[in-house]
Amino acid sequence: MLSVEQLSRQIADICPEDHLKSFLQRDVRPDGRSLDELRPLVLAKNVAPTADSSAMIRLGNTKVICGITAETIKPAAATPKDGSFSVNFEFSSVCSPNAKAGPPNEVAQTMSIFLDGILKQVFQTNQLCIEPDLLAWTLFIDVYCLEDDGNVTDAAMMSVISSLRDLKLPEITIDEETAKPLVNLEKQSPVDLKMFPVSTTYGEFSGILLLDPTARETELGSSPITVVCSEKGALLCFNRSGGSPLSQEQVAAAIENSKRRSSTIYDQYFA
Amino acid sequence: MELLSDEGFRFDGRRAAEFRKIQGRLGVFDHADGSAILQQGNTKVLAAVFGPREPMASQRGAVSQERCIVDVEYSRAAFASAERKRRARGDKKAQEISLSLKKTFEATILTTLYPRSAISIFVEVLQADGGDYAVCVNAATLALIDAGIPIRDVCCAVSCGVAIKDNVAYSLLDLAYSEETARIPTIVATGMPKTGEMVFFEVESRLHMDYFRAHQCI
Repeated sequence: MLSVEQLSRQIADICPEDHLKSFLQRDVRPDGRSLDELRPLVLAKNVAPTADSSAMIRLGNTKVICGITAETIKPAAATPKDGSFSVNFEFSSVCSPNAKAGPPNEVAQTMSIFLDGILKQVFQTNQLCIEPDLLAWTLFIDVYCLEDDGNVTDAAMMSVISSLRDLKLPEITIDEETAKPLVNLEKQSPVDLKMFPVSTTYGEFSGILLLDPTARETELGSSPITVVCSEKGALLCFNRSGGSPLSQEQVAAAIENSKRRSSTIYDQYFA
Repeated sequence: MELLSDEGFRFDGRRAAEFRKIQGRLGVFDHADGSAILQQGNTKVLAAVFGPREPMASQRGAVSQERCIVDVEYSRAAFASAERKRRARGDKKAQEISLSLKKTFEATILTTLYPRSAISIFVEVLQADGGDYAVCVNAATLALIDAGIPIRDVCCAVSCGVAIKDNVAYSLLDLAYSEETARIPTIVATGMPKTGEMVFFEVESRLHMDYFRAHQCI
């Protein structure tokens, strides 16, 4: 004798679209959430002590971990007063049963570019300069998705910002006589973020927007919408790659919600 | 760095045959058939098992009528070691380790029970502080148990170093990173406790046979 839950799951596997539609008609989703409700969000800091700073985000079953390693380099000739950073996002092999060895796939590369684009707007690389034309910091930001149950975007963005916020770089001075760098581990200072971007992603199914979509909701709908806003309400990114058309009201509402969410998340986790 | 003090303590206060603190949890991933996270000291490894399931297109060539395919992939986070090392997935070192793990688990899993199927084991090292290979084997075994896949015996691995003090050889079990890099002979052994069989054994340095025999008890 099957329980209601088991029966529901079997129906979800056999006719997934009807299953989701029947829930949405009652303004609720299969996991019991309302249309604009987030899954439980857990932020864990310093999960990888070997990295200079790290964070792991759990958004429902989606798990993303970020680690930042800082190293020193000689600044590029064209930009002698700038350091640099590079973002590398990968789906870990434990994440998917169809993982293949080799370079990151297009979804991962797109995510790296997206995260890099946001960071360029909020993080100035001239603060990474130690001595112009001689020494600067370079940050390696490595993000791994350990489990993908939808909305990896929001989790990844938050893990990067949290790690960046916790990052402390030791003071380095150049000895005038020997021209060698002297590292002062006693004096560590955080990096400066102009704004705190928070990403809000909506799945789209039959013209209805679902906040923080699960993997199942994402694959049944057309393409998701991602809005990135700073804690003060500045719009940093609006991303919708194809999919069924949205009305102007829906777009405006999505941006408004995202602005509100950004300041809430900032107050709760980063203030 | 002194590996073994006069009182018999290692650099972190352990005795020669003492293991680091072991913490683990099963069922950490929802989507995998079996999963585990295992931490020995500061070495942390995640393992996920998918299967038995239909072989992927790329595995069609290896499909067997008598047994299942065991496929293992090992990877390491760039920030896992003290020095950041970003290795492309599928580089030589990872492939070598993946192959040894594959052979180990082909011997452990009762593959004849699942002909024409595939079992995939994925291992991700999040923090590497010595004994990574051994912790990978242990984590993968736990993930297999969580997945309910029939195995011959619980497959356990340990890394061991030989420290010679006053002409007596001591086995240092469960090496930490600083001990591994101290250029002593190291042995990695994988075995099955109930039957006492050895599945995998690797020595990558010179070790005198007299000292080797003394370590059979591993």
